[in-house]
Amino acid sequence: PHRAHPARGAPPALPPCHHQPLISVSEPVKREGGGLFGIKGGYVTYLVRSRPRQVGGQVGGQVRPEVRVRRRFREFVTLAEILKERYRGFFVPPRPEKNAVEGQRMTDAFVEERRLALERYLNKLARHPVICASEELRLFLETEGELGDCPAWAALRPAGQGGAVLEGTARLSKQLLGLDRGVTDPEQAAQPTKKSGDIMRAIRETARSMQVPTASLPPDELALQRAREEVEALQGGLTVASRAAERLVSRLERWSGVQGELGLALLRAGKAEQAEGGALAQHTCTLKQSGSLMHDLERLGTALVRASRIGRRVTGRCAIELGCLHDYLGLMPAALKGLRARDKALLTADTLQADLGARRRAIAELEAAGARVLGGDAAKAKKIAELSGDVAVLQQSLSAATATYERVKATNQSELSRLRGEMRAELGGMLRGFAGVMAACCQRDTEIWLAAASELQATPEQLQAAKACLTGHPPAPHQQHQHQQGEAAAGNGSSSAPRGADLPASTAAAASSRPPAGSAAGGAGSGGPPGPRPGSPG
Amino acid sequence: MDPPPYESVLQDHGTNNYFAPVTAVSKEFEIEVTDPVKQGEGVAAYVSYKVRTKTTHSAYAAPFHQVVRRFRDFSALHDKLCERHRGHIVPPLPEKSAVGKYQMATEFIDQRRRALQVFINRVASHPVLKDSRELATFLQADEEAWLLEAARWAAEAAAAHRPSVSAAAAWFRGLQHSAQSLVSGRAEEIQEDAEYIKIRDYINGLEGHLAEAHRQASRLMRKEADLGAALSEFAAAAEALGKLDGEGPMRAAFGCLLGRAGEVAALSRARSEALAGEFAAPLKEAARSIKSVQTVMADRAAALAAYSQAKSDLDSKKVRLARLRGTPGLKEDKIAETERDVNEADQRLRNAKLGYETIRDTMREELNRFQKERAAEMSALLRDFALAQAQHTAEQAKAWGELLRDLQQTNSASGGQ
Repeated sequence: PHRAHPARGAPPALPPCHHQPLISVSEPVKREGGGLFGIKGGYVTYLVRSRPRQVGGQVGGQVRPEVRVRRRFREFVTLAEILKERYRGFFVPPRPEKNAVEGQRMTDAFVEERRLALERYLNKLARHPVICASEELRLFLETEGELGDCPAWAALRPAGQGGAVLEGTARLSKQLLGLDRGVTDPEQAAQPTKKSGDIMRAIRETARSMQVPTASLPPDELALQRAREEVEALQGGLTVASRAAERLVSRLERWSGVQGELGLALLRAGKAEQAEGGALAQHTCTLKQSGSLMHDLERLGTALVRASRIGRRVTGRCAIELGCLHDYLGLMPAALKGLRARDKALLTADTLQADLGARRRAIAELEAAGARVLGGDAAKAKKIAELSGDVAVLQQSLSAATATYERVKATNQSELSRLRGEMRAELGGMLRGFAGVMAACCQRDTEIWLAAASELQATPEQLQAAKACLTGHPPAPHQQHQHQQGEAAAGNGSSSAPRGADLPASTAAAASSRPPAGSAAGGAGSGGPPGPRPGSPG
Repeated sequence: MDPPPYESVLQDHGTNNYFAPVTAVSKEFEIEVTDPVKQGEGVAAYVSYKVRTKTTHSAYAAPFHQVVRRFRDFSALHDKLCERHRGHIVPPLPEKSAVGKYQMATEFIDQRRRALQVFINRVASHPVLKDSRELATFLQADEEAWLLEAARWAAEAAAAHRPSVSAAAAWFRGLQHSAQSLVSGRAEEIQEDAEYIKIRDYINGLEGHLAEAHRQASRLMRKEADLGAALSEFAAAAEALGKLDGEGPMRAAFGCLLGRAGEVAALSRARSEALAGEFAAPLKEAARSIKSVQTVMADRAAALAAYSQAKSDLDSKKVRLARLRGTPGLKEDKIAETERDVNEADQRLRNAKLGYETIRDTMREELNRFQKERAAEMSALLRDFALAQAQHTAEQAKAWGELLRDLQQTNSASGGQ
């Protein structure tokens, strides 16, 4: 159900869903390439189309002409890595999975799945206020030709990935031999610890993390640690809700399907009555009854099939509306990662602090001790000089690390509040959308059933009784129904009730978030949808 | 005579809505099947029902009767009516489900109770069967008298040399008979009316359609209930999610969802149950009554086969007699014996012809009645389904509309966009 996509061939009358794709990924083209050791080297390129906004522009700002570039999956992966490096603390939406079963990698089905996933990924990035204005994304979307050939892109890429392990081991050996002071310099302090790149630092930080914190943490740090727990709880809640939503959509689909099948069974029975019932009808002089039975079966069968079609569209819409639960669930790991980045930055600063303290204490001890202990004044002075050198570097590193920590902390805070705000708005919108769709569906179904009942010789009293609960219905939600069912009717292509006057009024109505305006919707409501119906019961 | 306008035909028996049509102008019988009580233990366990009759029929001793009967008794009544009133379409019994009986689930028992009530009322409104002795005994006899009568019926059925009524057997005999006439060079066969054959084929096809419609109706029932359950689950999950928002607007919004979704889910559950009794069960009964018609059709086929057989039997005996007469010098008593044979065969032929023609003529009446009832009932069933669906979806539309309104209010209260 999450495959449903709003832009694909939707009738123009459909009101906009709250996600409007700005970037499209399409036209996958398979290419051959060199392979190693019998592994097929083929790969797929995708056409990425986007409309760049002005620098610093908002969503829907001035648009320039469309830009088209070709990208392969590897380049998406690189983009994700760049963003991970350079946007610490931000809740960066996760990229589609890398793992692909070798034999499946080039099949059409897999390529289509991946194409969809990549499109959703880019659009999620575009919805992030900071990332969508970023140079990284802009380069990705606009650089013609191969990204590998673009110098600006190369400059962004995280340096020295291949050599990291070798470099790390070399460094460690130096440190152990005493050739390297093993002091983190300011530039490195501002970067996250790479376990492979600087083993000593990683070890120290791990050791530090296991110690009981001596100083109490400031309240905003504590708040952020609580926030992590909240995010974890949110993740759990979203998991359950997303699964329940999927089940609901699946049940909706099945329910619609059965209505259609029942309808078809009745239609078939009606056809049989028409084709073969004549003999019995003649024999028993019940031609009139046979005729009306045939008519009745056909009427109800048709109504059921119509209701089933409505149900299918509703299922699709619900899948889209409730899909945002799934989207937010996907964002949770990114949020947790962003919060962890802050933890790591704090740990780095903290470890440096401890380091600094240790060296200062060492200096103090040296100065207090007599020259005899260490083999002479010269040796002592040298040692003190070395330590002082370390202290100087460490002080700078500590400020760099602390600055990094503060920056990441601020990012965390703004991201959290952005996440909360967006979630509240979107989930609220989701519920309203869902309720609106269901209301429209039931309203439309009611019309279908009343029409069928009337054609099946229901009396006016019976019809009135059936829709009794709807009369005296407040106009405002009714307006929403009109709006929704206007689109349902337009999409369905058959509107049995005269709706001409209603449609313009309802399309003028804003999206569902406008608060109910009692008198304004008076024109649209006429005491219940079947009011203007030209039905003639019996 | 045309059936009366439909409103007078609908009759509410006791607490359920399962209608039983009354084609007589006056409501001669009102029969209730109630109070199922489990009796006995283990394998020998069964359910007994109270059968309460209110009648104005002249042959009945009093206007009110109450007896206790079990399914087996209804079955005996049904079989006896089929036997005694061949050519008449006897209303169908509910299934003799072996498994359900042992499980004795309350729902199963209630379904069966309702179906039995429909059955007995249909019998009591059948223009011929309502006057039958069998029905009178069933409705009035106390326990001892009933046991005696039932035993007598069983003995009669066993003793009566009743030809096999299964359609397959009848067909097979017909085949044998055709083979025989081929061998004997006789092309004469007694055929069915071409018109009847069309009717027969139509009826056979009809059973399939009704069975399919019932199957889909049952599935619709289940899917409706499933949908309600999924909605409840979703609302619960959403509410839990909303609580995580602290005092924020999501909590209130999702709380609204929980309330309304609960309403809608309850509506779905109720609709599902209603569908079972009001739509699925009548469809099933309609399919079963087609089977009753098929039983009568099989009887007719058997009678036709017997008739045809008797005719070819007579013909071959006549041929033998003629041959004997033509042969010189044959003993007189041989000829006399053969003449007796011919006479007996002639008598048998007359009986068989009468039997066949009786069924044929009865069937015409019965099919007439059946068709009129069926068309009216089916049309009413379809109409009521549409009305009930309309009401159901209207109520749901109201609930969803109210949810939407609540959500909009919550949203604007918290200064939403």
